Amino acid sequence: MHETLGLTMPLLAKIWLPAAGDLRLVLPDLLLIATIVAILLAPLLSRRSLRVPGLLALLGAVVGALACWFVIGDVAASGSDLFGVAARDGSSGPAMLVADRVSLFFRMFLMVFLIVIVAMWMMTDGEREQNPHEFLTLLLASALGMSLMTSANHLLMVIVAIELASLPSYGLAGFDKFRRTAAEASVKYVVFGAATSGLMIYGASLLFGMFGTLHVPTLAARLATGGPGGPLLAVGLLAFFAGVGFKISAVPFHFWCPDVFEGASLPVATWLSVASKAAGLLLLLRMVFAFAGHAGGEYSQYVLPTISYGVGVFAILTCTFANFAAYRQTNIRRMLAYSSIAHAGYMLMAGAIVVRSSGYENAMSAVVAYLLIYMFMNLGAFMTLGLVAADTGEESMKSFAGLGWRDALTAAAMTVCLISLVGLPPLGGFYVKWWILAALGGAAREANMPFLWVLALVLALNTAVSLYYYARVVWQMYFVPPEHEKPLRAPGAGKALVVACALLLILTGTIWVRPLKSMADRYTSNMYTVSAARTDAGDGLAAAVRP
Amino acid sequence: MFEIGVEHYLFVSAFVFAMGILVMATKRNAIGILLGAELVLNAANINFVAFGRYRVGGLDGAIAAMFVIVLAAAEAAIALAIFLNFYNNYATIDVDQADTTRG
Repeated sequence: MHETLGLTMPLLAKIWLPAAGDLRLVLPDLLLIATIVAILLAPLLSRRSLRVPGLLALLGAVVGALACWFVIGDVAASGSDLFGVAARDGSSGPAMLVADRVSLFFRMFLMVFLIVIVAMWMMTDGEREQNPHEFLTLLLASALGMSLMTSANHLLMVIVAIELASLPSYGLAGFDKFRRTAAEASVKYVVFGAATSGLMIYGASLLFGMFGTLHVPTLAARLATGGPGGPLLAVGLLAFFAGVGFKISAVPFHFWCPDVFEGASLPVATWLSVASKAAGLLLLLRMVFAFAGHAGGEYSQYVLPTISYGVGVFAILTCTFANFAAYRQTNIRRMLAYSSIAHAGYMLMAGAIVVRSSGYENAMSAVVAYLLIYMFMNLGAFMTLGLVAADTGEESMKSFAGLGWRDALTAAAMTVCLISLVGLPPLGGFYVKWWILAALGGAAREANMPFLWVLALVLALNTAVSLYYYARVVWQMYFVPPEHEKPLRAPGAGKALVVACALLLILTGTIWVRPLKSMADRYTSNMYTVSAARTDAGDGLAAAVRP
Repeated sequence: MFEIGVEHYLFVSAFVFAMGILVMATKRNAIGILLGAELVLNAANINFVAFGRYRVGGLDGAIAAMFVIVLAAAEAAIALAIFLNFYNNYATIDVDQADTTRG
């Protein structure tokens, strides 16, 4: 026993000994893990009290958000590799994770959103939930997976992170065991998820065979210096995209999305609509920008435009299909689901900017600002839906009839959120959409890529199309007489949340436009960039243990 | 006497992958679909190990395959729990019966 240990420990130390600085940069993730452990151990002390796990989760999220705030200043310029496996010759191996300001900013975003979701859950389902520890464990585990997704730099890590975000989400979707729609939603979610993750892993195995590595920057570098191409490469990349597309519900991998949003409980639907899409988008953008970090003859001429066209076509399909599908919906929850697919499509357009220039920092900045605003407008809309559904007992278009007369403040706040979702001034939703357009236009001019102009045009047309179905809800609230004139019965905290979201949207559309833009710019400057030292990372784990 | 090379493994893996896709597309039983997904994952594993052994060298491929095996087990565990829950509500695991939400 002792001898084996004596042999194993130096080997382990040689393979993996995390530096203290690296651990500091993943502090928010470590805090999430600690919170999960604390929630699982809590029943030993508190006898399955219903309040304790919720408060623990809130505490963990608050401390995590603060930790992000403190750590974000320590990030090195142009990011840093984390947990590189040291090779035998002393050079560092491929890094599994990277840390830069975007990744830490996203963790902060996620923690803040987590606080709101846990609070929302405690106000609605949490009161009568029989298994709060299990629910919160799943929620926090999916948050951990999402935060790893945004800093994964190695296809194996990408796969593990996506699965860590997905598997708890399947459970969350069907957590209410006695509701038929929840059971159905989780079955659809898990079946689609299993199929697309299978495709993704198969695609990764093809890429591994072609390039001899799973480390994304190295893979991109080998592709740029005349690696194998052709149909097999296209199949590998496309199959891999299926997994990421499933997370952001890009058409045609979106089928799960409306059904899951309809079947899952409201906090879970809100959580999935923002957090899982945000994580998937940042992951995709990081991958695409790793490819855009290289240039050279044939590669710039054929490979990069193909990636750009590929992502762009998916983005066009996603937002156009979703906007037309949203037309037909009479259930508001399904309409919001299609709306969230459409917004994912708008943000996906930024991924088509694969020119080596300031272009992708602009694109990333626009997406970060978009995600922030999108969180508030979606939160406001879903929360209002929750209040109305709790009062009227249904989530159809009709249940919103005359809301303007029954509760003027909530209806006005909902109207602000919906107009911001359309993207009309003077609300936050307008400016973030404008910045995506500006990033597309700027890159199109700079790199002479007419396809990006097409994307900008599609974005503008889709905005006009989407006006119709959002306006239908506003029409219901103000111009259709209610069935009865009784004021809306709803908890004050819920109404306050909706109003706060609306206020933030108005502020970010008027006096906070500049602060919002400069904040997004600050957090996306100095993104992790690919350099020669970071790509020639040896043969991977093999180098460390090869005799 | 011929030498077994990477191509032979790739043929097997391509065959398993095609079977997996076919099973996922045609089966209506939820567990059948899960079996198809497992076949696809195993095809990926054959690829990882074969490429690792013949093309790349080192342990990268084998380690990746080990991770995928663990992920597949976790996925099967949660999928079976969800199917059981579906059965409790619908008394069937035919995915075509899951059609109360649509549109």
